[in-house]
Amino acid sequence: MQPFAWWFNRLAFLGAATVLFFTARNIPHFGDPDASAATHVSPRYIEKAKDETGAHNMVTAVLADYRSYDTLGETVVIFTAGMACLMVLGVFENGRHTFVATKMFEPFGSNIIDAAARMLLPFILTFAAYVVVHGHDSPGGGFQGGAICAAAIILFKLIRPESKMGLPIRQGIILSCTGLLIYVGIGLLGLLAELNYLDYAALPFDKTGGELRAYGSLGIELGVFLTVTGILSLIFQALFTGAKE
Amino acid sequence: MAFLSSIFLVFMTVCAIMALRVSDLLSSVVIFGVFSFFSATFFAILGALDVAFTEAAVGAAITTVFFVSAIFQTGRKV
Repeated sequence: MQPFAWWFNRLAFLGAATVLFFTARNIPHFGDPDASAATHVSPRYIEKAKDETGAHNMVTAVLADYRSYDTLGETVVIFTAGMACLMVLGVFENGRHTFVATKMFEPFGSNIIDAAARMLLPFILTFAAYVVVHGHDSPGGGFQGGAICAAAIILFKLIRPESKMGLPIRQGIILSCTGLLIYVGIGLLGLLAELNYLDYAALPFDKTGGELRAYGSLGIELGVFLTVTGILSLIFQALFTGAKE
Repeated sequence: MAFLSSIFLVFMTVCAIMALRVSDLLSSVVIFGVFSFFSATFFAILGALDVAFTEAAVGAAITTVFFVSAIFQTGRKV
């Protein structure tokens, strides 16, 4: 006789599978023009996003302009995740900044890997900058650019673990805090001009309408870029150098 | 189009099951990276290029590196 938990697991799995199987028929088809998601806000985005936000890429228009408050929340979540990683890995103890170098990676680099990384790194970093700046017109944006930039930093630290270059934890914290401050500061500019929070019409540039709002979303993308770069590289550094004994 | 996306869905399912069943943690992480890569391609087929980009950068590259460094820090257990 199997224990109760065994039967419970099977029954719960079967029940959930049955419910999902029978409700899956009611999900609208891919690209269905009559789906409820495509009938309410999508037409507005498709017709007016270019003029209102100055972004050809509709995803960027939604993420960085129409729904930038959501993106602020996501950025705070990433920031909190990085801080939680630092706390769990014990890099800060009693409010002090302590490195406990437990087990470094064995240097596995060879001349070939080293040369390949040195060839690739400038292109990866340039691509990260391109992805951030060009997010209005092509896929990409602050988050993707930050991830690519952090990947370049991680690649460098993997190839040369003993090198002093890279992004130390302290700098990563400063960078991510700066990114979050840029984001919140751009939002506060709207409040100072007696508009809504994160209303880019308050920016002090000599532009109007969509062009001005494009500047605002670019500033926000830069903030997200700094936060993601700092947090991802500092999580790696914390995993890499300091783990609690 | 539907055929291609079905192939990638099948690959994703196989990768997910394999990542659970493989006993070596390091192989499991690598298979998980393969899963992320297939799902990025799947998103690209569906036309969600931004999501595919994020998945390829974060899921396939950075998450794998994090998992591998965590495994190396805790000691490899077969």
